[in-house]
Amino acid sequence: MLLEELIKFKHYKFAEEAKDWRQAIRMSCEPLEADGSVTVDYKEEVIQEIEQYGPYIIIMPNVAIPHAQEYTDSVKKTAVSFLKLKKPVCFTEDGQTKNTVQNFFTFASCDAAKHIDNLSSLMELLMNSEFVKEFELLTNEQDLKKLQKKWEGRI
Amino acid sequence: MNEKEGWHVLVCCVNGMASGQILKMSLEKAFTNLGIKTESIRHCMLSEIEAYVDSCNLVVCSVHLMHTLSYIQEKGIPVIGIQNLMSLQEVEEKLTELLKEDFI
Repeated sequence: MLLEELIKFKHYKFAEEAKDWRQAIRMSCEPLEADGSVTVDYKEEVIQEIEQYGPYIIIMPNVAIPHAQEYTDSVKKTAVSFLKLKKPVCFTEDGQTKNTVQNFFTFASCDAAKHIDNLSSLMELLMNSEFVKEFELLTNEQDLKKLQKKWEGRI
Repeated sequence: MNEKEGWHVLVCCVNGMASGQILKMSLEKAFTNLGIKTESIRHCMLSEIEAYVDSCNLVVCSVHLMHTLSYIQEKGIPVIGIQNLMSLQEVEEKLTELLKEDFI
C-alpha cells in the first residue's frame, strides 16, 4: 500500500515552495536520503535526465514521478517519496500549465518486483478521479494520514 | 499495417522503469477497452530502441520524447505521444485516430 508506506517510513515532505524545478527535485529526494534509501548523488542523476530529455516525468496534470535508472549505485533501497509544494514549479521557461507541478512522487528502485508494486499502487490511486480531487487538497501530514485511511483502509 | 499482422507495440521511455511502465499499463487497458487484440506490448529504454524497433509496428511514448523519435516515424512506423499517461481517454482517442489511417 503506497500511502501506508509513505507514512510508515516518513517518506513525505510538505513545503511552501521551491526556487525552481531542480530544487523541487532535490527536496523530493530528501526523505529518501534521510533513511539511506538513496545517496546524495541520486537527485543529481534525476536532474541530469530531465535536463537532457525534458520533463518526461510529468505523467498527468500537476503530478511528476522523478526517477533515475533502476539499479543505479545511488539507490540502496526500493522506495517512493512524496513532496507537495504549495506553490507549483514549472519545468519549462514558457510557464505552460501543462509543465507545472506541485506533486512529486519520487521513485528509486533496486528491486523490480517491489518497484512495479509501488507503481501499480500509484496508478490505481491516480486513475480514480475521486481520489485525485481529494489528493489535490492535501496540505500536511494529517491530511495524508486521513487520505491513506480512507483510500487504503488501514490505520 | 496489414490487417492480419496484429499490433506489436513498443512503449519507450528514458529509463524503462517508471513512465514507460505506467504507459504500458494504460495501453493494455486502452486496447482492451477498444476491443483490439495486440500481439505484443513491450517496453524499452530509449537507448535500447534500435534493438526492438524493427519488430514493432507502433511506438508509444511520452509527448516530451517525441522529438527524439522522429527518425522512427521516418522509417514508416507510427509514433504516438501521450501527454497525460494516466488518461485512458487520451490513449484511446489517439489509438482510435491511428486506426482510421490505412497502413499497408
